[in-house]
Parts: sequence; C-alpha cells; structure tokens
Amino acid sequence: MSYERKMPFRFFGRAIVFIASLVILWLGIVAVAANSGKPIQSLFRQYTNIPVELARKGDSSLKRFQELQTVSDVDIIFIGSSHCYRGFDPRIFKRLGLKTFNMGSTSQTPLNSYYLIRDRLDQLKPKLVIIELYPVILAGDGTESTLDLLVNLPINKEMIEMSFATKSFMAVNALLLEMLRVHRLPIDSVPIKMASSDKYVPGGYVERVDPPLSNLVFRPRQLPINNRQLGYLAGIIRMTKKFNSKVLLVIQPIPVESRQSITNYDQIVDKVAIFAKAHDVDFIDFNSIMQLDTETDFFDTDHLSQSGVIKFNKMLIEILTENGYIKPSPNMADQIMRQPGSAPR
Amino acid sequence: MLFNSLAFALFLPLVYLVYWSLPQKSVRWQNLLILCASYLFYGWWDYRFLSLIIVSSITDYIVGLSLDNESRIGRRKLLLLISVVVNLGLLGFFKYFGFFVQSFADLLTAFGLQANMAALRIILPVGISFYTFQTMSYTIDIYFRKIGATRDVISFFAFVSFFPQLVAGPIERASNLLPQFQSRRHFDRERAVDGLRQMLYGLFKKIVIADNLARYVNEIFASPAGLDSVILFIGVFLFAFQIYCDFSGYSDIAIGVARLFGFKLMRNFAFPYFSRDIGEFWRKWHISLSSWFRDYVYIPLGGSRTTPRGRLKNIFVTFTVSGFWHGANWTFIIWGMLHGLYYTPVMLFGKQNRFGKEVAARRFLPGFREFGAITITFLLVLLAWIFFRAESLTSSIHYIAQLFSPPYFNGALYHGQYVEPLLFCIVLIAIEWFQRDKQHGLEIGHWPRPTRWLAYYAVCMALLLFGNFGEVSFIYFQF
Repeated sequence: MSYERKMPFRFFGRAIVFIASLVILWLGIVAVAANSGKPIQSLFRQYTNIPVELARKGDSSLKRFQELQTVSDVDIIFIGSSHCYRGFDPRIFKRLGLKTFNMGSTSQTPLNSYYLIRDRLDQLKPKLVIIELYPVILAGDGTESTLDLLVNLPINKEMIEMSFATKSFMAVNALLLEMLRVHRLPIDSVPIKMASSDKYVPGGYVERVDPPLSNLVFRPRQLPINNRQLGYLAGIIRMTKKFNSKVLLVIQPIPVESRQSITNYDQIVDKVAIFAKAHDVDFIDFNSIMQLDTETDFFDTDHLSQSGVIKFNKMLIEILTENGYIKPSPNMADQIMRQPGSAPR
Repeated sequence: MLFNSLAFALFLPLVYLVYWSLPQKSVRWQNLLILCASYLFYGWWDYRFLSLIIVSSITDYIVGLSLDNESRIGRRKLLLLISVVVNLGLLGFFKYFGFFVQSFADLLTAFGLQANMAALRIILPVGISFYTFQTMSYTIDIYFRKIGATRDVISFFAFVSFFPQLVAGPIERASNLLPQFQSRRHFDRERAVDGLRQMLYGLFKKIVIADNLARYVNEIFASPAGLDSVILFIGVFLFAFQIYCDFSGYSDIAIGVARLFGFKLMRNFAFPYFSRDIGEFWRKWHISLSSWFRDYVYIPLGGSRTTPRGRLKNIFVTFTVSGFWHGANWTFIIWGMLHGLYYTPVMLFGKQNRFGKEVAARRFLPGFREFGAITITFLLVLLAWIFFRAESLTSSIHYIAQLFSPPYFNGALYHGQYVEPLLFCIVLIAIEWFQRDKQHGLEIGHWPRPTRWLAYYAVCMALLLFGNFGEVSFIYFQF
C-alpha cells in the first residue's frame, strides 16, 4: 500500500491513541474526585458531571436493600420511585395476612426497576407486582435512581448494566467513582443515616413523621414520556408474567394542584392506559377515583402523608379484593383504618 | 442518528475506514458507500422517511435530465414546475398542513363559525426543509443553464442525501458539491485534522454551551410571569446563544465530518453576533439559507433592479417566506417580517454591504462606534428571537410587555443561578472574538504543537466535565 493510501489509516490510528489518552486522563480525574477531600469534592459535585457524594449514602435505600436480601416468597411487591416506598405501608397489608415489600428508590424509573427485579424474581416469587408510575418518572432517564443505588448497593453486574443502560454520562461517572474509590466501605459496614423526618418500617416503607409542609408552590410543567421507559416497563411485565405473577400499574394520588400543574397529565394517562391494554395488564389512575386533602393528606407537593397513605391503601385493597387480586379478609375495613402500632380491634 | 450519540460515534469510524479502504480511483464505489451510509443514517430516525427523500431525488434526477434535453421554453417551465410542486408539495404537506388547517379553523371560530377539521397526525420528517431546497436548487440552476444535469445517478442521489449535511444543512448548491462527488477525492491530512478540530468545536458548542443553556431558557420561557425584566432579558440572551451554538455547532460538525471524507462544504456561520448592522448579520447567519432565498426568491422577484417600492416588497416577501420556512407557526412568520423591517432601511439606503471588512480589523478590541453598532444590532436580533422561541404570538407579546414593565429588578429572585450559563456565554464570546478572522473557533493549526495539544485536551475535558450528554436533539431538526 502506498504512503498516500496509508495516510487515512495512520490518521485514524493517531485519533484512537488520542482518544485512549483522553480516557486515561478522565479515569485519573474521576479517581482524584473519588478520593479527595470534601472541599474539592464539593466543587466537582456542584460544577461538573462527576456527581461525587451527590447521592445520600446510608439512607433508606441501603436499609431497604439490606433487608431485601433476607426476604423471600412475598405476596405483593411494590416497585417504583419515592412514591412507592412512601406510599404503600406494609403494616396495613400485614394485618390482612399479606406479606409485601417496597422495592423503590429515589426517582426510580422502569429502567432501574427492570434491573433490580430481574435477578430477584426467583427469590421473591411475588404473586402480584404493583408498579407505581408517577408521570415525572416516565419522563426521566433513571440517572438519579442509579446514583442512589450505586452508593447503597454492591457494585455488581446488575449495577454496571444499569449505569450504562441509562445512557447518562453522569451515571457512568458515578459508577467509575464507586469503582475507583480507594476506601469503599463494604455495604454491610455503612452506617444507616435516616433523615430525622423519616422512620424506616420493615418491608421497605418510609413513614414521614414530621408534619406536612405549608405554602406549597406548584409550577406548571409539561412532561414528555420517555419511550425507553415504556420499553423497560414492557420488559418488567414480560419477566413477571414468566413467573406467573400478576401485574398492576397504578398512579398514586397526588395533590390536585400538582395534577393540574402537569399540563399534559391527561395525555400521559391516556398513553399509559393504551400501553396497559396492549400488554394485557390493568391500570388504575387513583387521581381519577379519589381526591385527597392537599393540606393534610400530603406532606409536600407530591408525597402522601401517613393519613393519605392509609386512605390510599384502603382504596387500593378494596379494588384488589373486588378484582380478585387478593382474597377478602374479615373486618377488613377496620383492620386497614387502624393506626400503625395500635392493638387489633 | 444524532451527531452527539453513541450510535454515530460507532457509525462514523466504520464508514470512514471502509471509505478509504476502497480504491481511490473507484469514485463510484465510494459514492455508493456514502449513499448507503447516508440512507442508514437517515433511516435510523424512521425508515419511512427514506421514501420521501427517494421520491424527491428521483423526481429531480429525471427533471434535470429532461431539462438538459429540452429547449422549448414552455416545456422547460413545465418541467421546473414539476420539480417545484413535488418538493414544495412534500414540504407543504408534512410541515404546513396542520398549520393551515388550524389557522383556517381559528379564522372560522373568529367569525363565530364552528370548525370540525379532521385532526391528521402528521410526523414531520427530519431534514425535509433542507434536502428539498437542496434538490430544488439543482433543477432551478439547470433551468437557468447555470449547470448541466448529471447522468450519474449514484453521484446525484449521494449529493442529495449526503449524511453530514442532510438533516440540518448547510444547504449545498449542486455547483459546489456535485462536482466533488464526480471527481476523485484525496486524503489531505491537514484538512482532516482541521476537520476534526472543527467537529470538536461544534461538539463543544452543542454539548457544553447550547444544551446547558437550554435548561435555563426553558425555565424562563415556560413561566415568565413573576420574573423581573433582568431575568427575562437574560432568558432571551441565553436563547440567542443557545440557538447559535446549537445550529452553528451542528454545521461545524457537518463540515468537519465532510472534510474527513475529502469534501468541502460551504461555511454556514461567520460569527454573526459581531455584526455591525442587519445586512452584515444576514451575510453571517445561516449563510446557506439566506443565500438560497437571495438567489431563488429575492432575485427572481426582481431583487434590487426595481423601484424602491418594489425593492421593499421583495425584501418583505423574502424575509417573510424565510420566517415561514422555519416553522408552521405565526411566531416564525412575525420573526421573519421583523427582520424584513430591520433590513428595509439598510437596503433602501444601499448600505447592505457597508461592512465588508472584518470587525475590529487588526485591532484587539472594537472601537466605540463599532461596539455601539454591534450592541444595537444584537439587541434588535434579541427582540426578534423572542418571537422565534415563544410558543405563540400571545406569549411573545406578553413576554415583551413584561420585559418593559416593572418590576425591572427583584433581588429576591436571584441566588446565583445565572452565573454559570452567563460564564459559558462569556467564554464563547472570548473564543470567537479572538478567532474572528478564522473559519471556526478551533482553527489553531498555526499554533505551536504543545499549545495546540493543550487546547485539544482542554476542550475535550470541558466536554467531559461540563457537557450535557442527554442526547438532546438539535433545535433546527424540527425544521
């Protein structure tokens, strides 16, 4: 081959060498970020794509996934975002003889749920999988949840796949941070640090103990549906059906002002309904069948307070019973409305 | 397939290696590869879009050959009409059908009549506004006997679908690009290196600047109520840089990619925000489109070779049509008309080419008068951008009304949130100011090697540290 003919390939080779040197330099920068002091970490976190110490280590996600390792053969798995782990109280279901678990994390999207549930269905063998679909989550790419899970779960094949699946540079950087951290504590040694406003309840639930916030502000927003998330949702449905589990899609109650602020809420619900029908699963938008009090039943612009959780879970159980998802229980209404921790009537 | 995507990062090296592996004497095989790669690139969005580009290509290939063999004026006009009708028909249907239906419905409603128009969900094929104009320019140039038709079907189809510039320009002329498909391409190392630099700079503008500014712009324009005038001004200021970096970034990547394959595309942006008047702005902003409208709309209408009233009409029509090209919304039409209004005095007084020399030529900073002229031009452009960005005419008018109404400044709204995006703009302005006599911001081949390499690593690190890699699509794709 003549020199002229070789030139494009030599040029390509040099470009590859340059890119390789960039990758090495980048790994070095991430390693510095992972192992530097707090002031430098703060600069990286605030101004760059390297989310060092961005996610909260040791919060409910850690506790939840530690507990999950000891759980098997459940009746109902709840899966979704913070709406999930703050919205389904296992104590209420336990009174009806149902064993449940909340597999949620902050801003967890169907993409994250897919990887979390994939290798655990065999262990959990749920009879019913309830997937909570807060519209904001369907617009996301899964980065926030990935960051949360990366600091609170062991780094394994599942977490590596999840990080790359988000196609988020920040998620990949978060993965690199954890892999390049020199002094990474084994997950079992990480101390649990729950916020004082929250109380962890076995079964993966987080109960809000502080009173609701006041002067809530609802800004109008339009939320696109990320079709990749629907793809992963379809994947979850396929997987769970292989285990003969039933699937139910739900949207939890949110404040009416929050619902109105989502300018394309109705279109989102329609799209989810069409999706559910196409995949032969039921879908319930609880905002169309119940309206809770913004001031007492929610503790912020999106999440249910304990009184809201009780009302929501009551209606959910009634619907599950009517539709044959669960068997009816004697004195069901009384059992549901009993405050957690109080003696049975 | 987006330029800022993993798929393209794999596609480009593969096509490049196969392209240069082919015998360089065999231009035909290289063109065939480019054609297949371009159809793959385009079909990645939606394979159905390919049918449209193929229809447009077949129509204009046949019309071109027929025009070459036809001397009767009536027949030639008919052939040209076929090309224009097919291309504008495709464009009109996919891009403007909904607009006309909705506008007609609104008109009926305004007269108290009920309108039950069929809601047709029409997907806008990516790049249709660009390739239809590119193929039309081919047939129009043949009609006016500026060029001859090509018999080489592969060259022609590759020219129409050339993937670097297919979806957002530059809109190439057949006289520039088609001969390059018909002749042997030589690998020029210096050209390829500068092509890579231009791609890097384009990615920097898109991923670091445009995509990071987008968040602030979207927030401000989504709910301007309750914001003060300064924030509203910041909103449109950031949008000016967002759209510039988004669009010129794409053009830089397109031109850089083409250079890797031995092609030279036309320059599309020449640092337009340093323009000293609107005439200069339109010689430096989206050059391929503005020159297309000049050559195929303004000049055929009569151009400047008519009465002042005629000239006024021609300018107005050209700018209005240009605005309409950008989108099926009255906001784009008003944006175009506003620029027509700005251009009118410049044209009427014959000052449209007043500023031929580069700004602050052989000086470090502009003079006081030059700075004033740049500022005034920029402010006029900013005002027009409000219409371009807003969702509707009503919201643009509200935005402008609020911009000039109290509260002009409310300290409680600030918590340092605009420092970062404004810093990005300052960095860009500094780079482009110092490189204003170059073809692009990273044309640094003449720098000493260590400094050059430092610059490459600095830009790459900026991309990795600050870039928004959310595969945010380019603004001009919607056109």
